[in-house]
Amino acid sequence: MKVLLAEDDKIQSRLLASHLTNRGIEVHVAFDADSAWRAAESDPPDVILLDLQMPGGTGLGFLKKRNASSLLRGVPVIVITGMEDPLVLRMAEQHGVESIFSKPVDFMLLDVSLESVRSRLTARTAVKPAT
Amino acid sequence: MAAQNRSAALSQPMPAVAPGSAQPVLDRKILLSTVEQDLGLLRELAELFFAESPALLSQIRNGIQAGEAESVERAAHTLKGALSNFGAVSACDAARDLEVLARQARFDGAPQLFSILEREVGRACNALSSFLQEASREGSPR
Repeated sequence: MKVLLAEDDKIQSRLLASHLTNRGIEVHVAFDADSAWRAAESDPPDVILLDLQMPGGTGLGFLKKRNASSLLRGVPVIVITGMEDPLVLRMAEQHGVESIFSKPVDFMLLDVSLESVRSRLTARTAVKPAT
Repeated sequence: MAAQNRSAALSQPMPAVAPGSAQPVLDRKILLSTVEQDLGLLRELAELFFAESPALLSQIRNGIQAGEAESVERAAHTLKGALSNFGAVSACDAARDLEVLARQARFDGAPQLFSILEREVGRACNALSSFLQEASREGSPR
């Protein structure tokens, strides 16, 4: 599975990248919203881990763009955030996110969410008709 | 494997406790679960924190002096996130209080809150250094 990790906090991104790579997940890290978007467009990941507060644009802006993009609309987004504003979190939910995690992230729950995405990907691949 | 990096030091109690409080400067349980017992990773994260926290504190101090709420909020938010990874509860609370104040564009009491934050971050750094030194002496981390 290939994950795009969009997180400007170097400590948080290092922690998450370590956790994911230890589980055999390929991780690409972007430290701001613009580079995250470019990375997603040039090599669409299986799932995006998105911080809501980043330089170069907000996570909500990223979600809006994702929803408008035919290339990335189907890519699940897991939000990781230190924001406690319920309005912002509700808006993120309305943009169709897979799940939302507060920092520090509970790795066990994150694994469950990623496993759910992985299962769907596997099922989709299994039923894909031969060309 | 991360689990192989357990050190004998991990079973020792965290020595540093905030003065006048029963609350430890660092919550060892959070600290170790965050890095999944990987002391090599913890050392790496601590170095990042030691390198970045002075600039974040400066940004908050300067922002308070200049009345720039957004700058204070952002730096306090980043600092809060970093501190939460280490289980630095008191320092994290101080950063959160400043973040909330700045979000409301309020500066009353901000210098006092900043003094608390600065002191708690210093304590957290010292406790983290002590823990890593102790772990190096007693264990065989990666």
